[in-house]
Amino acid sequence: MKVNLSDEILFSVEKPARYTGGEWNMVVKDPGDVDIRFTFCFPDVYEVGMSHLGMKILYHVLNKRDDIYCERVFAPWVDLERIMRERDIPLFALETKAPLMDFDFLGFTLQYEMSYTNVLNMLDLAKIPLFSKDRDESYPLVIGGGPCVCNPEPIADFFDLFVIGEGEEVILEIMDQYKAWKAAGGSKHELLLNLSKVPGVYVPSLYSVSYNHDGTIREVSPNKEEVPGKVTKRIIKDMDAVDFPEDIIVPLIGIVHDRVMLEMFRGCIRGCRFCQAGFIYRPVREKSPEVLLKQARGAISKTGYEEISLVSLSTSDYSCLQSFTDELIKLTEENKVNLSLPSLRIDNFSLDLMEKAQKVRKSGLTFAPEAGTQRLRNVINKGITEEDVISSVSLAFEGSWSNVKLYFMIGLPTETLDDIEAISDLAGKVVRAYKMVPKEKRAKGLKVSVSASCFVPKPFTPFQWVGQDTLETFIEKQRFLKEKIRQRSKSVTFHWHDAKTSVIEAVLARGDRKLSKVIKKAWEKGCRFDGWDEHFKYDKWIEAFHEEDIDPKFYASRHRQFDEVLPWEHIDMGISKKFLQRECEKAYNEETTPNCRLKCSGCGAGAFDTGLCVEKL
Amino acid sequence: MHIRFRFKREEELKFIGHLDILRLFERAFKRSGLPVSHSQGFNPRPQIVFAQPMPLGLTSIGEFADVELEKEYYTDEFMQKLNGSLPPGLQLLEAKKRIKKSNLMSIIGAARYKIGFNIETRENPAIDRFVEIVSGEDTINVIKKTKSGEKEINIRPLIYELSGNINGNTGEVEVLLGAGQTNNVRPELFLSGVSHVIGSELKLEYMHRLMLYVEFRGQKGVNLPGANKNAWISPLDEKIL
Repeated sequence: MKVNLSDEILFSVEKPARYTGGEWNMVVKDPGDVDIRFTFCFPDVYEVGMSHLGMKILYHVLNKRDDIYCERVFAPWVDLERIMRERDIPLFALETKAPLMDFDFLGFTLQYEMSYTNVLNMLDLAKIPLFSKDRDESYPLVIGGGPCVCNPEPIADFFDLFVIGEGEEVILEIMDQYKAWKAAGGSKHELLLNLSKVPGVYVPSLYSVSYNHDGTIREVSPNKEEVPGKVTKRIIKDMDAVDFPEDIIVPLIGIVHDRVMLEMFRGCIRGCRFCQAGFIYRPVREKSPEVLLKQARGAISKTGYEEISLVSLSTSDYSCLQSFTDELIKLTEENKVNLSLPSLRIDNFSLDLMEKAQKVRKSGLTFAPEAGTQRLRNVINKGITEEDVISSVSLAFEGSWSNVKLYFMIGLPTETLDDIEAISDLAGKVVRAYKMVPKEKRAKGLKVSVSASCFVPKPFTPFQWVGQDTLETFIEKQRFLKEKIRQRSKSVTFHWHDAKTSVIEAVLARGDRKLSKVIKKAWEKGCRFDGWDEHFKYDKWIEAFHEEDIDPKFYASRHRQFDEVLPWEHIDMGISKKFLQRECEKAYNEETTPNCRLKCSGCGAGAFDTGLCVEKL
Repeated sequence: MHIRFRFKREEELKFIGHLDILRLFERAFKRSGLPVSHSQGFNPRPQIVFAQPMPLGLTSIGEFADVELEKEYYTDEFMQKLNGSLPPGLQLLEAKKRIKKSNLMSIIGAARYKIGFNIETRENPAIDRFVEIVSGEDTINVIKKTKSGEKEINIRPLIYELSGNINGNTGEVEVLLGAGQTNNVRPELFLSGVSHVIGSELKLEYMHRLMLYVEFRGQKGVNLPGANKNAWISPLDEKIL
């Protein structure tokens, strides 16, 4: 069966090419020739989902196999959803236009908590029961992966299994198990039991959760002896050897990150205490410059893209950055391709590099001091000082940049109004640094934009026990900062994020299985695209919590004890709880921890026996 | 070297806009390895010029573009390389070497379309004679949306040829309409004019461009209505290459 959207429908929706497929490098196979049909599901709109590197990697890894056909589907925008519901059109995959019911696997990537209602909406549009327990062998297996699944509990009831950690290898192991099961013919339960023994696979239905009287968790334990008590994340040991796609799909319409993305390394040496990515992707594993250059060359010629971007958590920390970028710039100049350099620490070297890479645009420079005072930066282990920031912006102003963005968080642990006022002071010092540069040396029109997001404590960080500020406190602090910045120079503008979104995000990030009914209720009330300000409905979420008799504050703003059993206790991301507790205590003592290259802090990632952990020991 | 080529756009790619087509061709050229010349200056742009934007939903077998290459190629090799780098739904049909440096965009004067429509309201029983009725009018005023706002224009002088028929509640016309930078009449605009004249609402079902033409002045050729006794010739005609 094929779902054909008529011209009439396509003419009536925004950006119809979101739904028509047919892009360059789209994989075409005959579904009759394969054993397994997989759809990669991204719970957001096409332009966001197509920008996701993980999807490109897994699409490539799966389609390399002759016995598997991996297709794609994205969340239809609200205009098409309305039509699909009115006319009873099922959700379909872009490659063959087959309804999702025809597939063996639906693989959702969970990149941000605010996409959970979109997962439910997509299942529902595909006419697939939302709860795993309501799906028998005739339905596709619904699997999930991505950073959010380091605490999969709030959405555990909807999924058949989760893949913890990096997917390139384990996904094929799952495919092999499935193929054998399909050939032999068995029950879904047997399949799930087999799959639970694959390292990195978590089958939530095989675990029971019991609770204490106060609502905290007593125990999470497997129902069967043969099911592992803890699921350890998978990682790729050798980044040079792992398959990386060069023939990536080139969309027909503009997308958010419309360029070749060259992944330099995984993990981060820094250990900023608020940053989940900095902990869950450890240890740091780099690709060699030779492999990167080969992949860059291949991707440019196979896609025709006019821009290539380096991807990592911190570009400046790549160990042979200088020699690598020298070669890369030669390559991009030869091919008339632009080079984009995100997450660079600003110093003489990087400014020079940007000068070489982007000959034209002197677009804005971004700095992320994250906190206003040195005290609070020590708390979060953000290893930069005010002198670093000021000397960096001064260099930038001398290099005729005049547009600076400063990123901060409010609601960080131990924060006081003094710390918040210091954000405004720091912006003032940046303005002063600009004025110190002689008029003939600096560019005109200084713009300093201060952006403050609301801190969301995440699992597997030293702040996983910390209560988030309440909505009222966030709003009060935002108002205070807005007023302080208003009193400053006209060149400073202030942007803040909606605190309501951050509060719901905090609930979902550290929630347990009791939340599945709340998520379902919120979805029933019309919540979807919660990550989009224009669609986020805070009141509906609060109604859903109320109706399901769940107190969001229990998850968002409650301080946990170190000995509390956390909902994600049975997931092992390679970071020991002891280390996280140590880091948390150091945070409250305002002590910093050196980065992984300077000194090993014994986080536990050494157990993976690879990357920086082995190089340095 | 300078090359002018004709290409077609089929169903699968009709839902992307003009800027998407530009970007698509730029990337296809990069993939093909054909070295496109770039403009000088701060922001070097690949030297590719399209005759006429394609509205969303249009299929066509008569699109034209000019490209400048840094090296010499046989046109066959050029077509083969570029066709190998275009996604399904776009294909080059012919290509010729070009010497004269006319601006492709500014020389286009007319476009031939096949336009299908639904008849939403059938108030006028004379609708079956719509070709005759439209041809008999001197003035067909429609509201054209421009960058500066809306203005009323008379499109009748820009309907150069018209034939077609009606079958029940649907109809199809083949029509030669003004095109290019100053006289462009889009199929929707044409249909709204016809709707107005015959007093029935016609709704666009499909539009297919058959050809774009250049007005070749001072040459006695085929004498087409409205063409000021000049000839409509193909942008690939030797006389203007």
